[in-house]
Amino acid sequence: MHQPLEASIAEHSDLFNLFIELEPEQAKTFIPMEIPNFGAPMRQRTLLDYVNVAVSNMERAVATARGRVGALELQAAQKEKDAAALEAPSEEVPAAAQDTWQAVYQKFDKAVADQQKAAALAALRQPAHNAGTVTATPEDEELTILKKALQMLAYYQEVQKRLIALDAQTFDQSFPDEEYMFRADLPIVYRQQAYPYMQAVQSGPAMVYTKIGTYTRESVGDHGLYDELYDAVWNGDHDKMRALCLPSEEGTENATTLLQMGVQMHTRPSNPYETSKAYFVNIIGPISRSVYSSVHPIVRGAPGSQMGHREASA
Amino acid sequence: MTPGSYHALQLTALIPDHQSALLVVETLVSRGASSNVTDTTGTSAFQYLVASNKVEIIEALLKIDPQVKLACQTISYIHNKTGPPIISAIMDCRRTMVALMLAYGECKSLVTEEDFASGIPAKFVLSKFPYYLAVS
Repeated sequence: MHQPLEASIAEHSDLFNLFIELEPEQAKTFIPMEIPNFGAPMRQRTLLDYVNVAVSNMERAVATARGRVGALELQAAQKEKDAAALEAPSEEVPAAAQDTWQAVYQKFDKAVADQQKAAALAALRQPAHNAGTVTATPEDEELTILKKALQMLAYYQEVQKRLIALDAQTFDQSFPDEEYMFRADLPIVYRQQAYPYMQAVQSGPAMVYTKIGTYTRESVGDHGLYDELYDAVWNGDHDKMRALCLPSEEGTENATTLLQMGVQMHTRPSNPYETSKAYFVNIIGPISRSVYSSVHPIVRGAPGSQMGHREASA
Repeated sequence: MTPGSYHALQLTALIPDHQSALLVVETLVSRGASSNVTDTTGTSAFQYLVASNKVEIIEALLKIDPQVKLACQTISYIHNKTGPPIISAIMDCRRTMVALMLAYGECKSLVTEEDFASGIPAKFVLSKFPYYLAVS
């Protein structure tokens, strides 16, 4: 869910001034919380964090766009230079030698060279768009991008200035003891490096077990015991699964030593920056079904079970 | 309301003449119509009217509809964003609409968890967007 202040900044609207005036306290330590990503470490940033990142991204975008515009300007200047050279008149063949075979050759050669020059000049002067259509030239496109990037940079700098004037804080300043720190110095594409989870995936063991969660993936710790659990599931060893995951009737076990049923295993991707291709092996279905049915056969409902007989008799 | 069906208040957005539209709105509200009724996507008639930028109708509803406070707090999913109606007005840069909604005091400049919880219109929204439960 978005707060009005957040939505106004996201839309690059000057309405942000209004909402900062109305809720100045909110702007100081506000953590935008879009619901689908609520609680994810990557979302643990204050508004100032987001704006700082936006400013640095826009500065990079402006630098890139300026570089492209500069390159295109150089290219255009070179074109002009080439055109000027092509337009320069070629040397005339000396009149005295016109009756020799060399003069005939030179005359022919000059005619061919002139023709080639004219063709090259026409190519240089040719507009970038097809006749009859209105298409922006590459220079125009790059200038538009640069103009837009400059506008966005100015907007975010204004928001940043306003927030700093309000004594707004970054997430690290607001919550110095939090485990997951957002590292604003990292470009967005490498942000997964900021999280211990991804570091474990990229530099840790080849296989990692984590709790199943839509947005958070917390390591479950002891690797060996989860190997045993996976083996037990694979072999259908219900007693082993029960012993590892469920408390006994005596209840003497420490709850923290019991394994999580909802875990997933994934392997380290070959490319450390490629997270989307990580292999997720989800075992919550088989584990929960087998453990649950072994402990509570009455609710299993399969043919031959107690529930099945009841339904049949009814 | 179901997808494909329309609330009578929502249809007032189609009346070209503002005065006639206002008369219809007043009549409907006086006979019990509520702008907080939602369709199965959880979007209320109020939300649709805000998205249609019907300033006069919204002003009338803010004045006369007893359910309008809830309508202002109803969270819906519109423009790929989740939030109360004021969010869609902000995202469309409708300054007049934003000012109007804030001026009547029913729409807030800060959505609290209490607003969020009270603004959820019906159970089907929870089943459709279960992540609402994460913060409610």
